[in-house]
Amino acid sequence: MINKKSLITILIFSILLFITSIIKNETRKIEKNISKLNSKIKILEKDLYETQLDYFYLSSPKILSEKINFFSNEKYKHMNYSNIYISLESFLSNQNKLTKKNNEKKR
Amino acid sequence: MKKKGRKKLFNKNQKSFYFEEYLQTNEPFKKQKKTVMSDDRVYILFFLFISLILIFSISITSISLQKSDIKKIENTKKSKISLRKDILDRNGILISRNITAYHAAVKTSLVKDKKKFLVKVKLVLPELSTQKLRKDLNDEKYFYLKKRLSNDQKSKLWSLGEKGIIFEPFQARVYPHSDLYSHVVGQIDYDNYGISGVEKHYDYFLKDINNNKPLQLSLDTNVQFVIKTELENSLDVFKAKGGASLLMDADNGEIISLISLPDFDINKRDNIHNKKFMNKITKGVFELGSIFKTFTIALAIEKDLVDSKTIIKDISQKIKCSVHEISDIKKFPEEMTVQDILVQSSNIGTIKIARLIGQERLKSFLKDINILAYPNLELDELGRPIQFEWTKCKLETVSFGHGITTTPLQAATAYASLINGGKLITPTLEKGKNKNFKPTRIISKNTSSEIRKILRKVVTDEKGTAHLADIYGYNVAGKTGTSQYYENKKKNINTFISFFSVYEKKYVFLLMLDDPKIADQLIYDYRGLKIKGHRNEAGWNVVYSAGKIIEKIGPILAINNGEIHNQHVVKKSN
Repeated sequence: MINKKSLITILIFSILLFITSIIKNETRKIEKNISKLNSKIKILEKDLYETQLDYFYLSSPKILSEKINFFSNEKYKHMNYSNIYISLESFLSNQNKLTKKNNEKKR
Repeated sequence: MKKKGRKKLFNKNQKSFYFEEYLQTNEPFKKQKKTVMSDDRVYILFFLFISLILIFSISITSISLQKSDIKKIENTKKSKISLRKDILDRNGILISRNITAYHAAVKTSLVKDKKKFLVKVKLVLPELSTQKLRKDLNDEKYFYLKKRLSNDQKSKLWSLGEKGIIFEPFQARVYPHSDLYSHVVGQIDYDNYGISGVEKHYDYFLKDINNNKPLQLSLDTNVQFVIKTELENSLDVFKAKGGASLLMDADNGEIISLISLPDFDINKRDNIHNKKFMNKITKGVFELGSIFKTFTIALAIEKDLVDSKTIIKDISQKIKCSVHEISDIKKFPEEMTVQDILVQSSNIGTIKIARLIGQERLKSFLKDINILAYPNLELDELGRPIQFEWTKCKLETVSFGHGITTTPLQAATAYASLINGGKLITPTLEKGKNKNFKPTRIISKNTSSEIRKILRKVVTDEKGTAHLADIYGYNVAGKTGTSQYYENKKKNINTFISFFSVYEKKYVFLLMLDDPKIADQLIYDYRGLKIKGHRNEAGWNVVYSAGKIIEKIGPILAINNGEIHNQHVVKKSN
């Protein structure tokens, strides 16, 4: 006859096996969901990939300047060095110099 | 016999055949048999049960060991998106990317009415040869109607509703800036192999799709566009055959812009054989003229033979060297300082200094600054300067830039090394490549500083040749070079190698015009005077254009300057 110990072992083993199959089933379901989401992400990524290309094409300096010329009559000029201020301090010091110069001229 | 046999088998204790099991006498024997049978059944059941468990456990283990399908899907999709990595500019702007495009092929077995098919296809693709198409259709083979269809062509062919037309997908390379980077980026073939430019040089890196990191170049799209537009204007104003420009960071050798005109659209696959489409900066080998005088004078100062104030005496108008006669294009005083010789670009004065240096030292210096070596850049389209023997008079002619050739790339790199404090740099098209590069010194810091001062005088001095490039704020300095075509002395190649600073960062800018004409319609603002164009030397065309370009790219470089940008422009509150 089969002893009690081996019966319990078999019982535990089969219970574990049963639980494993349930977990495996659930995992498969989750995996399917992940797969679906992944395919959705891939589609979005592909869209983004193509949209990025469109963006870089449409925002390229050549296209932008063509569009500006087409849609606007305004002429854009380059910025002079004297108009470039890298900080508020440099702007203020430059303004002070200009004011001093103007004051000296008035005198 | 049968009866006897039956009698023998007959059990005399048996009362009835049907109640045999209830007989007291058979009880122990029956019990024993029964337990043996039930044991067997349990064992069989047990065996079956164990077998089932084993089958289940094996199947579960095998399923668990299988790799999930998700990874497979991921891999297939990944490979579908791109077989080649992106190329970006220094600010992350896309320069080239792979997309799915289509070839149109024909499966003749699926074409029912060949005549009708031919007419329909000719309406959509009129450029195809009717004879060839008819022949291909009659051959009953699978053939390509047109490779690399445009979107418009594909939709038109699709709308024909012909089953015989097969659209074969393939990976095509797209360049959103079309001709802006034609000489740098290069092209790939139908099999995704780089065939020219950066695409060829970085072919292995670009095809390694396991590493997602794109290739980031040192080029700046906005700067490149501004320079190209201005250079095209210059070609128009001075009726030049071609032009080229190079902008380089003088401290690390990163090339910010490289243009050679005329150029071509790299999205179109054309066989280009005309020499005018050559990359003039890297492949073109030119006699760049007076720009070589800077090397001679830098070496003389470095060797303590002269300083910028040293007076060179007996500068004649002509000098005899062997059977040749060397002269200056204009009259110079008989005594000039070293600085004035470079500022006013005197050939005879430079020869006098070169004779102080000696042939061996000049030869060695030119070798040190890589002027005559094979250029080093991440492109395959490179030109080798013409090698020559140092015969009689070579010292004299080489000293002022005649009888010696080099590529504009090498000339600009040598200038960058002279003005950056004397560190020999290696030009590069890859952003950050030279970050940890340890340069060798070719001249001392003092000599470098002296050279910078003299070159600044070329722009600011009354007699300097590059006054038109004196743009406020950028401390432009440089040297002009005017050289004639070997076969036609009336045609010039004018060059201006300048450097300018934007918030302590130094840039070397080379501009070259091929065969510019006098712009008699152009009014120059020359030292406060408005004068019409009447001359054809570098100072009147290429310097003028360089000034215009520096004025426009200066603000972009100021804003893109990493240090300034981090300190002052981008300030996040969080």
